[in-house]
Amino acid sequence: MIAEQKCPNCGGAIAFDPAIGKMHCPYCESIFDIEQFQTPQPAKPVGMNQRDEAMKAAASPASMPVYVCRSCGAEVVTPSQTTGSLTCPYCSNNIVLTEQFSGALVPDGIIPFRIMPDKLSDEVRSYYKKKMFLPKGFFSRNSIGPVTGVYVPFWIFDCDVTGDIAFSAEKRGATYRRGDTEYTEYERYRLERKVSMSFAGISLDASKKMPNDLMDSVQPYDLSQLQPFDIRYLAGFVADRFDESSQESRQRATERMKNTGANVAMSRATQGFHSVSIISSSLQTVVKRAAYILLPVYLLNLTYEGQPYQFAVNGQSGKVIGKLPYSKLEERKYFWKRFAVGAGIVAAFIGLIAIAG
Amino acid sequence: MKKTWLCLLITLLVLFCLPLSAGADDSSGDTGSGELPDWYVTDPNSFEDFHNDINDPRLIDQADLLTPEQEAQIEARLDQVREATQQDIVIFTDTTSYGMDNELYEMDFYVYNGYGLGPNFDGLILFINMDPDNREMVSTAFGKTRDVFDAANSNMLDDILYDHLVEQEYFEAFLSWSFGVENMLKYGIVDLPAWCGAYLSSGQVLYPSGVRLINEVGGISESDTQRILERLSDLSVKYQTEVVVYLTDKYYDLSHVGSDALPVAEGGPRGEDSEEIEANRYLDTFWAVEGYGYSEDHRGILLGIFVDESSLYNIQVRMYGSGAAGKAKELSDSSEKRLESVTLLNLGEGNYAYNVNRYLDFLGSYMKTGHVPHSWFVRGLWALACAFVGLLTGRFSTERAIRKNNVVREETRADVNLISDSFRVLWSRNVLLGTRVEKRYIPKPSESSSSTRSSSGSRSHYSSNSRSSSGRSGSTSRRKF
Repeated sequence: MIAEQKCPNCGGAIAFDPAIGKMHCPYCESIFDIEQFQTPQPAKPVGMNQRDEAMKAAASPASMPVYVCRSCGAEVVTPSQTTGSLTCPYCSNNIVLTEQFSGALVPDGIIPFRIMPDKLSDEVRSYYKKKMFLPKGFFSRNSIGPVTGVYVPFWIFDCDVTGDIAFSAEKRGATYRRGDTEYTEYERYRLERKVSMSFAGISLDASKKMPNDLMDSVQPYDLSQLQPFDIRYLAGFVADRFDESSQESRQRATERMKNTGANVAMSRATQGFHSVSIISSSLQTVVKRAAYILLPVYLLNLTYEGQPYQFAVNGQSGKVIGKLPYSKLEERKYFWKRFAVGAGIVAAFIGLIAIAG
Repeated sequence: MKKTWLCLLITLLVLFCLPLSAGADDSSGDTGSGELPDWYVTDPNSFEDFHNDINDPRLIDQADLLTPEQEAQIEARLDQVREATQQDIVIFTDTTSYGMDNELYEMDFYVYNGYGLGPNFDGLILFINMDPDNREMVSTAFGKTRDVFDAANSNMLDDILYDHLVEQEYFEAFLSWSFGVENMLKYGIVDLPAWCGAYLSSGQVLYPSGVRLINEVGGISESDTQRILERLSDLSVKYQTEVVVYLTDKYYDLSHVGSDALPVAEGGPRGEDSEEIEANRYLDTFWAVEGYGYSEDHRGILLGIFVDESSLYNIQVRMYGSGAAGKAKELSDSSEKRLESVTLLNLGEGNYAYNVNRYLDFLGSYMKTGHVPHSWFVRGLWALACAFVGLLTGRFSTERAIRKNNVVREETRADVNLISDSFRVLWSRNVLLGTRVEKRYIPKPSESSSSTRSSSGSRSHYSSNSRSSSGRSGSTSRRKF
């Protein structure tokens, strides 16, 4: 089943305009409030296990991602099984595949796009101009591909962490003197602590297609701007449903919390000791809340010497992030320039002293 | 029967004599055992101070160390010193001190025989006790002679004596001693350097004009000496600043000589510690006495290398006058230290010439540029320091840039997601596993020594307030030999 957003005035494909936060018809330039369009069924609270089961069912071979465009009648195969929103390649009609966002697959929320895509190429250029160690000629010989606005599925976790951590630590004891020798005692302890702490809003992308490092780096998002899911926000953008289960993402979240938890405990629960190191850590996490949401990301590829470099732009804040080619030669040049500066300053300082002397 | 009477008579004689000898001991206080000499006053309370005849002998050689001719010469010499200084000089030798302490015995000899001039009995006595069990030389000054007979001077006099006495050169010992005493009484210092003595005695300088290397230490070959002299001459003429090098193993505090007796040049601050002040004043006096320096302000630079008996060196550079030492208008502290350092570096017997030449190399650069160049060793250290800082700067800034550059990375922590006030320590326990002890050595503050130097390695014991049996006080120096 598909949902199409058509302009009530001209019947053209209408899309959500991030700049004005309304539906905008690019053909007749009509602007409409989002409420004027077809409203989906309100989402019901769904457990994580149900979502994971639904994800597995949706991923079965029986549900082939093929749809017939109502506007032009073309039969279109979606790019992947997880695609939930796209534009018809024949008539540019904006289509939402509602079965990708129905039942247990309905997201708990969405942050709509706030950034317009038209100047993103310039933003990317200014981003990489600040970067170092780029190959010579990179600026003139790269090309930036088309920008695609994508709603990327994310899992959000709120968790409580409790557990036991053991540290090895030292404490300075008595100092005394005998003859010409000063003696200082150092007591070595095993510190055992039971700690608890809470985490909120740990966001992990739930799409296997998206590189984790890119999606981690494009954050943060202001989750207070989270809206109830509405397929009308998807009009004109690509949207994916999740294909990474909550259980898989939870493992990543747990790992992060344990790392932070152990370090926080080391700094806050061992006052008065020094040379502290962790001997063992056994932390358990309890998920208080897990939510499936869609977050806006612009994706674009920069090509240099035939090699693509993927960029992501936070669709809410405009933060640009991306991978760039790396030149060892430029790194060496940079090193020797800094070497010259450091050595030169010392030489000048010594010279001044010598002259003054 | 006869034998019985003889035994009784002997017993009575012994009993009669015992109280007599005990009485003699008592009357002389701590004079020990044995028969005392005629001059000795056993009752000090009955003694009245007197001046003996000026023609009485000043050399009393009871130990018979000198021939009659030698005695006559020493006598004449002592008279000469007395007349020149108006202070009595006495030499007394013996083979015993009659069980008395040498110092007390000597002082009593001086007092009870009426030695000393003037109301305070000014004078100096030297006592040589040749008793194999108590061999010692003791000198005591009385009256105003005590003012100059301080620890340093008495030690120098003892040094002069010791070197000859251990070789049994008694005549040479007394003669040299008399000259030292004369210097001390006239100029306040025993062993005057030659240039100083020549100036004081005749008002003439010792070294002819143009001799700019004065080497009292030796250790520089004739050819090296010539080469250094040529270099000194070249530098002096080229920069119109007299450059002089002075190597000496003499090292005296000339302040005793008196500010009016010797001229002293102004060569800038003399330093902070007493050794440096003393050495610089010595050089300043040398410069002024010898009349070195160009033009009215005696422009010049003097390098002083002081070598002591332990081959320890004290290097001092002094600049006199001002203005025309090439570009070196003023000798700054750091330039002075650097010149001294390059001279001192690896200085030792056998390479004086090498070090002096190196000093002249650096001095030439200094006069040419106004800066003393640093040694290659120091320059190498600087280059290492520059390279080290450069490497640190390069490495840290590159690593920082790499970190800053690589903004795409997978998150491994959830620090930003921690609710800060949610952290709780629910339970804790500290288990003591063991104790280790770190030791740190704390050195004691170094203790300064006030011992006087001695060329013989033997040390004199100096006392500034000795007393004779009659109560007259003196300053005494004594040394075993």
